[in-house]
Amino acid sequence: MNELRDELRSLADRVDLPPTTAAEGAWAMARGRVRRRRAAAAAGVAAAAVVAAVGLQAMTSGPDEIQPAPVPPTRDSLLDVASEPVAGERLDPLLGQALPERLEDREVVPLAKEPLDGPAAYAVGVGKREVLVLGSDGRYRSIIGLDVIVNGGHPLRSGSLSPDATMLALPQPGRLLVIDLLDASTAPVDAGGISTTDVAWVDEDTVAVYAGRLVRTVDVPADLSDGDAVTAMRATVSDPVGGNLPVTGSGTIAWQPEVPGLVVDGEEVPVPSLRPATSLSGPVPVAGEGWVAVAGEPIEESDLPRGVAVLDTATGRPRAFLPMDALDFFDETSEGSIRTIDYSPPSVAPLAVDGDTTVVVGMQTVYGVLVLRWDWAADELTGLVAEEDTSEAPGNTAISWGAGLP
Amino acid sequence: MREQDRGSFEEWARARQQQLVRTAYLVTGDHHRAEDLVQEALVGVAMRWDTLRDGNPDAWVRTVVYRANVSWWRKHRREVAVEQVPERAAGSPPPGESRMVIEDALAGLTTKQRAVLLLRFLEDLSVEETAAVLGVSTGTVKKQSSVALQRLREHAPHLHDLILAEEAR
Repeated sequence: MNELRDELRSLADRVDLPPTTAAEGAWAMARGRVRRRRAAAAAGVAAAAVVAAVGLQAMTSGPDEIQPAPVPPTRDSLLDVASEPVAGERLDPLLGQALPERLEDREVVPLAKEPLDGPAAYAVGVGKREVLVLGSDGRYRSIIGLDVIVNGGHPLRSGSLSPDATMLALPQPGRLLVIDLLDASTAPVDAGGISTTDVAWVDEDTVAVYAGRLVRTVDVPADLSDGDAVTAMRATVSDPVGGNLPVTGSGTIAWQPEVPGLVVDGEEVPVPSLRPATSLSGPVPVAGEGWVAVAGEPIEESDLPRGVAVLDTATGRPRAFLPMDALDFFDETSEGSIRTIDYSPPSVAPLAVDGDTTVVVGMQTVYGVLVLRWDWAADELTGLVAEEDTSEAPGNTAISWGAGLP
Repeated sequence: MREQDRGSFEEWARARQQQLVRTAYLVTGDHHRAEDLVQEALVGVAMRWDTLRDGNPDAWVRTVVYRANVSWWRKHRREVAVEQVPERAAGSPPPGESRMVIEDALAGLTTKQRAVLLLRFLEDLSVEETAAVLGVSTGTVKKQSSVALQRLREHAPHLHDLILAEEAR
């Protein structure tokens, strides 16, 4: 039977084009790009990064496919990985292909003897059940025996750093784990039985725990004691309108996945043009003073791409929107060139606030993960701060970002 | 990238390049852009040949080409859907002409509609897979697919039954 697909395939087969030479030179061009990327990485300078390594199975599991409960990490499982001393830039372009090489000859030093001196910035997976922390001193520390859960296999946001980047909160199967990066102490957080897939530090001693439509905030003591469960719930909020509830530094707001709008102090404020894309990496927005940045896509049928919106927390109205296509940005890691992303990435998430009006935005592309700075007030991408080629290790990379950078 | 892999990559690329450009041409409607998109995608494949060689590099190229074309259109926004395509006599075309009818009908679609149609019915992807390739919602795929089929129905009346069958799938 003559089916439509047969007609289309016949059409494709019969398209009469001159012989192509598209393949010629592709290898050489690729080789050049890899060399440039490696050169940029080798010359790069680190400041603060968290590198989370997870197994492919854990990363590709959805929220409903929680892995068996892991053995809690202990002091002995907190290691230090030597790396070249680097200084200067805050965010680290050393990740990617250079990272596994660094792990081959690592020097193991207890984490507690080499406390982080400054904030950490982001997490990338390179192995199985291992988290690597890159501090501002350029040294990697390793935490093994962990599982890292990522929403739907998307690589953005697997954990959250405290505002001063001294503590790391990681969703674990059936619970939350808080790790003090300075003295290696850890504490499991009792999230009230909810299986959390997303966490976010609200302030220096509070973590918001997300589980679908339920969000709880948890007080985290300043000094963690090994093995002590943190159970104090400062607030438990079941969203009355069926949405996710980000907790911001300037108050509590709800971001609804189905009805476009925000709830500010209990009152719904319409946001006419955007809704969060549930397929994105996580519902957790990042907040500045009086504004919140969320990932979203147009609610109406239109040709607008998905993107990141900055919403006014007082009115709920959009103040800026970064469409995730046709992006031109200054590539600090590649000889200061201007680069263009001319397709819509399948995943995007605001990762952190970096200054009064700048959001650190992560985007998954067909090539990997890009992390960009966006000055929403100026409506300008002010730079590429990190790039991770995840194609070499598909499905096992996670990125989160610390807030409160100096 | 390992230099010893170059031979296997180039063997694959040379064997596939003509078909890839042909498909890209259907997607873009522009030969030069099709060549550019395929070449850029092949560079990407070469960079990750270690990983892709044992997987499905064709699918990887396809994703890059479709997405890049839709994004190209978003950036330039010059394309306007062709409301009127050359009129043809009603009824079935003479033998051999159906291909031309479909080609005309494809030319009357927007970039996104054409991409959705080709992914769904040429590449045989599901709604969800099509949405993933294009980076859009499944709702967008369904709507664009419906509109595209309606346009095909208008411009290729002899395909009416085929299109109804596809819509019923």
